Parts: sequence; structure tokens; C-alpha cells
Amino acid sequence: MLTLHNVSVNIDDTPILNEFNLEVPQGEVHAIMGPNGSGKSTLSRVLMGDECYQVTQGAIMYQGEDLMALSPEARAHQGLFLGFQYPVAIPGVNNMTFLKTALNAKRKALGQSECDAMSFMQLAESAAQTIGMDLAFLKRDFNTDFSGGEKKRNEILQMLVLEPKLVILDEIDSGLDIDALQAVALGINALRDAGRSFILITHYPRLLELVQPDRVHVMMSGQIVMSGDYTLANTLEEKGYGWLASNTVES
Amino acid sequence: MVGWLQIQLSLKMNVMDKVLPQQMESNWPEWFEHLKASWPSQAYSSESTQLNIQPECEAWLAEHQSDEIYRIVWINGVLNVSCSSWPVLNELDQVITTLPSYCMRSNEQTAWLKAYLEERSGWVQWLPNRAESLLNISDGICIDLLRPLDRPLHLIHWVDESIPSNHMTLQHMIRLGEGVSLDLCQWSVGSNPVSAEFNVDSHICLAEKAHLNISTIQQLPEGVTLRGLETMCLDAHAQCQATYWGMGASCFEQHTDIRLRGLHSHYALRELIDLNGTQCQHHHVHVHHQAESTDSQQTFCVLGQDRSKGQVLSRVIVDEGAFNIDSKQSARGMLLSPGAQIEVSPELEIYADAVQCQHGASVGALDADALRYLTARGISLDQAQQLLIQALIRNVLPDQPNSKMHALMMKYYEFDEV
Repeated sequence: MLTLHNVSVNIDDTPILNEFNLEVPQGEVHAIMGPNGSGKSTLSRVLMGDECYQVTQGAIMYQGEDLMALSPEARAHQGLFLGFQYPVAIPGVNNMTFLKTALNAKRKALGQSECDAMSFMQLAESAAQTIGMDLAFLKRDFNTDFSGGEKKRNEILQMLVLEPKLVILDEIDSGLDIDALQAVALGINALRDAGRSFILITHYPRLLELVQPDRVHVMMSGQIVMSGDYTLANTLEEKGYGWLASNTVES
Repeated sequence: MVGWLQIQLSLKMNVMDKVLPQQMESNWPEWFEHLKASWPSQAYSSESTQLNIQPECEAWLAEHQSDEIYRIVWINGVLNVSCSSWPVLNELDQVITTLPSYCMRSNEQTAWLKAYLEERSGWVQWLPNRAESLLNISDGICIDLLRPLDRPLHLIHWVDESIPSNHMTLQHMIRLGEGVSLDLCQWSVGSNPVSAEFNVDSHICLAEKAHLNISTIQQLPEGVTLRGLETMCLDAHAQCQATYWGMGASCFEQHTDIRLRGLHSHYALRELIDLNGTQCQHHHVHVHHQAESTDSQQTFCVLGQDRSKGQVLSRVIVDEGAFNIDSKQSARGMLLSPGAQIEVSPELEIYADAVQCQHGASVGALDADALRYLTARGISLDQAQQLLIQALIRNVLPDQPNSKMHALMMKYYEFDEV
């Protein structure tokens, strides 16, 4: 599904990712953990085509195609979805209007007919119910006056409606209470299938207990320094990252 | 003065042509005194237009106070029916214009007006009398409405190359009687580029408990210079909801002077200025709270593209002794091109205690984070910009969702509501 080969990324000439390598097969859920500043969010932004980041070398292949050749919106049309760590609020743009616009933009790009208002309402309401989201949030301005947890739920709602093929969730669990965390996990598990892949960027093993990823990677200084199954998250919880500082052996 | 005498003659001829049954219920002198007392003398004069309506009004009224009274009069007009591809006008189902004379003070006259309007549903275009003048045209409308009108009144100011003039002046006087409501839609529009100077002066008085919804759309063609002067007085419990949408004209300068002089009177303005090319617009608004417990709300949105320039100077003045005032001013400028310039400046001048006055202003480009977010969801950059512009415009959409102007703005800016 996704392969990064020797990818290096700078921000304003400061290297963030350093010959980064990662392979996410179709249908698998991969978690990426690591200390602050290790480049996790940079990775997610690069995958979505954020122009603030300069890819200085390497290749990113998505479903056999060069991802770097695609614009951000084209990546979304091809099935990439980034759940933002800090979703923006857009006063004046209705949540439903935004979501319908995004869905129809994707459908149009794929040569499909646009979703009419009635079908869309049913789709959106069904998705909201899946994650226990109050339907009133659908009618409000996009993320305006939403709490942190509500914004994260809204990200999951979009994921459910847009049905992407590769989902990247950047610290989707940060700032969530227990109920919200379970709702997020519910959304992820509802969408999990053999044709869809996930990259979960997180600091906490709690979400991983609920989702149970296929692989857990540890990222430090712009590289993956260790990989394992989801029990690796518990090890990190116990020991922290210090013991990995000089250990770059991949288990 | 010469021009006004011509108008009087023309009016008399119209009266003879289309006589309507009239009642002698004149209170013109009182109305005039009422207006005169409320208009500042400097408001009559404009260097650009050389307007000085007061003596002409006085002379005209003095001559006519013993005659039959025609409450709504178009002067110098000729009736033309035509088709046009102009997108805004295409949306209108009926237009009142160039009515030689009519009155709405009796049921019979109201019935006549209704029949007249129904007969003329479709395209009606106003053109000034070509024989009047090759250089200057004066025209105007007086509305003295003592009973509610059961449908919106549309006034069209049409400018195109067929007008044999490079200087046109319109003077409107409008009064709503006690408790009367009116929906008034003003359209200043044109089709092809033309070099012309266009002046519109409106003087409006709202009696106690009167309610005016006034929508103004200005979409004049390139080459037109438009200057507007609007004065408005509101008596106790009177309300005005004004919506302004300006898109055209090479240069537009508007001065608005609002006097809230009656207890609990209310004024609200929602204004959208959408500029491109080298257009420039200046709007100076003064809202004067002269009585206690009055409130006002002004919301401005300015969009600037290319090398356009927009300026909104809004000032709220609260007189000494005018307690318990509630006033809000909000102005947002959106720079859509690096060469555009926008200045928004809400100001307060408060001479009383116990008032609530809020004001805020901001000018900036589209939110880069929001654009990044929207494109990451598959929305094209153009569409993302459109969504953010719509978000801004939403603040100045008319209050009445069923109004023609609301529908037009929704259509023009391609709102797609779920």
C-alpha cells in the first residue's frame, strides 16, 4: 500500500526526516511512537503533501504510484486521509456543507455521481451514530466552539464518511477522555478491513490496546529505530525511550 | 433651480395624463418640516453634485400644498420594456419604475397599483427622458407611505450607453408613516462599460414604529463613478434593517448618516463590498444615537481582488444623555490578491455613561491553515477559497432568508447548503 524509501525531509533547511524507511502493507494497522520532535507529525504532513516541507531525497510510493507527483487534493481523492493533531476551526462553514463538499469532490474526481442531499444526510448521521456523536454537531459551524475531544470525533466522522484507503491519524488520542477514546477506537475498528491500511501516530498505548495494531514502530531523530508487535507499546510505557537512544537495532 | 422647474412642469403633465382619485389629506408641510428638522443642512450639499435640495423642495411644496397630492411620483420618466442578459435583473419578477403617479392612501388606489404591477410583471426598464438634457439629468422619487405595501417595492437605477448623459442625479425622499412597514429594494445596475457620473441622494424618515427593510444592490458597469448620500431619521420604536451589496462601478463613494432620535429605535446594516480590477469604494457611515435605549448593529465585509481599494469608516456617536445604548460594529476585510488594499476603521465617540458599544475590525488574507486542511480533504484550492469567502459573507447575508437579495447572494456566491 505505502512504501517510503530513504526519504529525507527538511523544514527551512533543518533536516527532520533522515533517510526514513517504512512499508505499510494493505490491510495492516501500523502504529508509530516516539519522543517529541522525532518527526512523527512531519511524516504525516509529508504524506499529505504539505508544501511547507521539502523532500530532499527518497521515494514515496502509494499503491504503486509516485505519491510526490500528486497534489494534496489528488492524494485525498486517491484515498489518503490525515486525521490532524490540531484540526482547524472554520467559523461560517457548516460542518455538513464541508463534509458534503469533500465527499462530492472525491466522487467527482473518481468519475462517480455526486451524493444527493438526502443520501448524504443518511450517510453522515449513520457515521455519527457509529461513534456516538451528537447529531447537533453536524449542523454547527465546522469545529467552531468544539472541545478538543469533539474535534477529534469530527475527524473520525470524516474518516467514516470519506472511506479512505490509507488513514493516517496524528495523535488522534491526545486530550481525549475515556469515552471519546473508545469512540475513536470504535470508528477505527469499524473501518478496518483487508483493503484498508492505517498509520496511528501516538504517545500512549491505551489506544493501541483498543485497536491492536499489526506493527508498532519507534521513531527517533527522523528514523525508525525499532519495530515490533503491539506489546512493544507496553514496553515503551514501562521503560520510556531512553534505553533506545543508542540502540538502532531493529528487532 | 432651472432643472427643478422643469420637473414641476413634467409632473403636472403626468398628473393630467393619469389622474387617480385623490383625497385631500395633505400633510406635506408637516412632512417637510419634519424632514427639514432632521436633515443637517450640510447633508444637502455635495461639491461633486452641486445638490441643494432644500430650497427646491420648499418651492415645490409651497406651490403644491393646495393642489392634489400625489404621494409617489416618478419624474421625467418614460416607460420602456426591454430584455437584457444582465444576470441580476434577470432574477426579478417584477419591477416598479417610471410610474407617472400613483397613490396608496385609499383602497381604490391600492387596487389600481396592484393591478398595475401585475400587468407589468416581467421586464421594465427606466430611462430618463432624452429630450430633457444632454449633459445633466435630474430625477427622483418621493414615497410617502401611510399604509403598508403588501409586496416589496423595487427601484431600478439603470445606467448604460443609451443614456445621453454623463452626469445623472437622482434624489429620493422616503417617509414611512406611523407603524408602516416597507420592503424596499434598490438596484443600481448597468450592462456595458460607460463613462458616466451617477449621483444618488436618499433622505429617509421613519415615523414611530415604522419598519423599513431596505436592500441595495449596486452592480454598475466599469467606467461609472457613483456617489451616494443617504440620511435617515428614526423616531421612537422605528426599525431599519439595511443590506448593501456593492460589486461594480469603477469608483464608488457613499456617505450614510443615521439619526436614532426616538426611544428604542433600531438600525442594522449588513454590507458586502466585493471589489476587483482597479475598483475603489469608500463608505463612510455615521450612526448617531440621539435618544435613550436605541441600538445599532453594523457588519461590514470587504473582499478585495487585483489592485482594488476598499475603505469603510464607520463611526458611532452617542450623545450626552443618551443612556442605555447598545451598539455593535464589526468589519472584516479579506485580501484576495497581494495588490489589493482594504482599510476598515470602526470608531466610537461617546458622550454618555451606561452604554454598551462593541467594535472590532480585521483585515487579512485567507487562512492558510484552513486552506491546507480543506485541500487535504480533497477540496480543490479554488473551492476551498470559495468556502472561506462564503464563511465571511455569511455574516452579512440578509436577515430574511426568503428575500430576493438573500437568494441572489446565495446563488452568486454558489452557496451549497445541505
